[in-house]
Amino acid sequence: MTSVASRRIVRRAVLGTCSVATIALLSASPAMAADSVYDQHPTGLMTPGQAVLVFGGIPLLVAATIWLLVSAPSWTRKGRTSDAAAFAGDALVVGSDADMTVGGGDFASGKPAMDIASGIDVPPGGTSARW
Amino acid sequence: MPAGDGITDRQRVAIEEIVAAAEQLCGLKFTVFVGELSDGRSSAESMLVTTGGDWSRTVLTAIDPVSRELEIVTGSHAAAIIDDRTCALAALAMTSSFQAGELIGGIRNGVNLMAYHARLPQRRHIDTV
Repeated sequence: MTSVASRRIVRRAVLGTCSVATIALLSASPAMAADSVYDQHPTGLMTPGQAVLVFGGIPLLVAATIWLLVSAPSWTRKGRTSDAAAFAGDALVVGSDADMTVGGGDFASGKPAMDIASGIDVPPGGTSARW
Repeated sequence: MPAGDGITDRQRVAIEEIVAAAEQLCGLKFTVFVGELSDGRSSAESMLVTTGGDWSRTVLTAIDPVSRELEIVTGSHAAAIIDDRTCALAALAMTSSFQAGELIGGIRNGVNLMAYHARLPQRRHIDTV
């Protein structure tokens, strides 16, 4: 009984000593830093104006830089225009053996030569669409 | 494409590559026309006949960017492979791109869709008997 009580007392004493030593070391560490920035600026690290510049100016600067990096590539190219809406040039045919005229027919105007078109029923396959 | 201009050389080359790839993929003949369709569908059907060669194996995609009209006409043989529903799906893909101002992108989407639908099935094995 006595030995158990004495062990508890010893354990508490050891724990208490360690805790006090740890707290003392932690609280004393800033004082041990002789050249701390706090020592060089006794009134504080920055003035309110500096704080505004640091916490407001730097984020604004970063945001402006990101916006510039995103927007700049589009400034170097021509403005994006609609290909389909802007078309006003000559007709283009790609993949046709007929080129633009075949056998007297005019491909672009859709007027086939009579000898080609006569007797041929145009197949109904396909579809129509508008946009 | 700047307003007032037609197809640029670069765009023409792109369309030629699209058509060549589609023809190589499925064996059908693809023709792309970009210009005025005076009589709409009938103009496109007449164009199909004037394509020359075996027009029954031809798929004509006619686009009128000014009147915002798209016509897909398939020859008799091509129509057996690429049915009207596939053409309608391709037209939907194309018009979606055209609405966004992507002429070449729309042509690529539509022609590729039809070509992939019409491509020959891959041979998975070879009979040795």
